[in-house]
Amino acid sequence: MTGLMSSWPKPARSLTNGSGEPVTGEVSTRDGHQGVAALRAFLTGDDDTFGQLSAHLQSRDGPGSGDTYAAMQAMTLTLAARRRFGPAYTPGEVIRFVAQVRAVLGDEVDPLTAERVLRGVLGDPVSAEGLDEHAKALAVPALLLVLVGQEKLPGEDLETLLAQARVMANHLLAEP
Amino acid sequence: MPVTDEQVAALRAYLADDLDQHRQLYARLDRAARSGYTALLAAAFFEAVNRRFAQEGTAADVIEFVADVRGRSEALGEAIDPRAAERLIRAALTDEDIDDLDDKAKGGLYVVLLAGLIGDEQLSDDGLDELLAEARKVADEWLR
Repeated sequence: MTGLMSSWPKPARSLTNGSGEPVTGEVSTRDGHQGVAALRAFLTGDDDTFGQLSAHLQSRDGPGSGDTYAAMQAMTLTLAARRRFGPAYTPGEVIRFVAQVRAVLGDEVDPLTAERVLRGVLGDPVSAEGLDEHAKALAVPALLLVLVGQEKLPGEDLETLLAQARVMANHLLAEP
Repeated sequence: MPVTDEQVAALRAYLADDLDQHRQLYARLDRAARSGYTALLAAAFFEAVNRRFAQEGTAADVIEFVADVRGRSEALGEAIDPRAAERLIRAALTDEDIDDLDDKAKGGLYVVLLAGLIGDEQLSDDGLDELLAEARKVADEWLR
């Protein structure tokens, strides 16, 4: 399984959730496809493909390549989290889910950061403000990995999720 | 000075969820007696942690127990630092160093985590007395 601390660069601009600060940028169709492919590889544990795609995009686009991937991650997390928890989630559900993530993936995920990230994508953007970028960069993929893993999505559902996330990510990145 | 019956009674009332009685009994303890009470509290925590986790407990079990306690109310979720709480539990099982945690924080965590441990055990009156008797022995050793 791909390590949480992948070699992917941090996004050039902060991308925390769908309600966070908008970022500017242009995403070509090709970028979008490769961001989707990289995230698919990460979520399905295809480390070789993930490594190849991330290395390719970084060498081609430099630090800006992180924006597309981070947007895809953030939007996929938003969709998966809302699908899992629904609008009537409780703080206790978030706390217990983050504990499951840490129980599965280990202690490097900071619990309070992960809880704030999760509450942020569930509709409380204020809770995700001011987070340490390093801690967030560990928390987001960890949350995503366990959310998607626990859902046991068949291939086509994962594709639907990624396609929806791609649309949202493109909107996010296209915002002025 | 060894643990007194009054200190045991105060902690017993707290763990039996008789908070009015606990407050009355605790208020009667003077400063020196409260120090002994804290030793008894810590010893009870150690005893309860060992009963719960020493045989088959894993790091994941500790993480999930702390999350379960924090998830019982919004106030507990905000008040309990999960990493500090997990370290405190691990320190009761291993030689993990927790010297950097201040005494006030440790005391607060002992209180809420012990209540969570005891609540989960659903001890009978006799079971609670037996746990407190064990804790008293340990605390007496510490206070000697």
